[in-house]
Amino acid sequence: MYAKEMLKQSLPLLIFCGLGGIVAGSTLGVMADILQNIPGLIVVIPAIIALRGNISTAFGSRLGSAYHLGIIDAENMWNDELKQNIIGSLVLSFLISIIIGILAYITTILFFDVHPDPLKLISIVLLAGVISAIILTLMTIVIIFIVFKRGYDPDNITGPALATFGDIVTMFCIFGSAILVEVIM
Amino acid sequence: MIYNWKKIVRFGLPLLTLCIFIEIFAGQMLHLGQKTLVVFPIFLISIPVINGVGGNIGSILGARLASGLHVGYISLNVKDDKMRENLITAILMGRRVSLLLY
Repeated sequence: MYAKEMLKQSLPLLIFCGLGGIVAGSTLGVMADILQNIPGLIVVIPAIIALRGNISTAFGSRLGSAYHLGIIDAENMWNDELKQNIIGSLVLSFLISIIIGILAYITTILFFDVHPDPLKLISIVLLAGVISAIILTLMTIVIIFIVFKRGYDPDNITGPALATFGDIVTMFCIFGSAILVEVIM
Repeated sequence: MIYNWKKIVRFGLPLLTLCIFIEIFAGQMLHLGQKTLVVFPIFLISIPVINGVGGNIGSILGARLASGLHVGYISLNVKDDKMRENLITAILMGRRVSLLLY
C-alpha cells in the first residue's frame, strides 16, 4: 500500500527526469569542442552537477521536513525560516564553487601534468555555480508552492524535479559561462 | 526559529567538501577518457542520465527517511518494517527506470 503510493507518485517523474538528463547530456555533447579547448573543464562537470544536486535537494528536503512539521505551508510560505534556508544555500554554493575550481586546478596538474589557466577555471565554476544557485533557488520555491497547493507529499516530488532541472540549468550555465569567460579573457 | 543560515553552512560545508573531493576524482576519470568520450558523444550524453537516475532515487529515499524520522513514523532500526519497505521500493524503482531509459 505504502510502496504503491510511493511508486505511483515518483515513477512518472523519474522517467521524465531521465529524459531531462538526456537534454543535459546533449548540451554536454554540443560542448565537446569547448571541452577540448579549455583543459580541465571536463573535470569540474561531475563536481558542479553534484554540487547543484546536493545543495538544492538538501534545500528541498529541508522545506519538505518543514512542511511536515507545519513550519511552512502554502498560505504562510514567505517567512523567516524560508529566508534563512535561502541564504544558507546561496552561501554554500558560493564557497563550494571556489573549492571546486581550486581542487580541479591542483588535481589536473598533479595527475596529468596539464596546466590549465587557474583564473579562467575558477571564474567559470564560480559564475556557473552562483547563477545556477539563484535560478535553482527560485525554481525550488515555485515547485514547493505548486506541490503544496496540489496537496502532494513534497518528499516524493522535490528531489528528482530539482535534480533534473538542476542538471539542465547547470549545464546551460557552464556552457554560457565557458563561452563568456573564453570571450573576455 | 528552527533554521539558521550559519547552521546550514556549518553542517553542510564539511560534507559537501568531502563530496566534491570524490566528484573531482570522478572528473579526473572523465579527463582520462576524454579523447574516447569526444569521439563517441553517445557516452558524453549518457553521463548526466546515469548520474541523474542514481541521484534521484537516493534523494527520494533520503527525503522520505528524514521526514519519517522527524515525524516519528519510522524508527532508526534495520528491523523496522517501514524502513525496509522504503529500501526495497527504492531498489526496484531504480531497476525499472534504468530499463526504460536504455
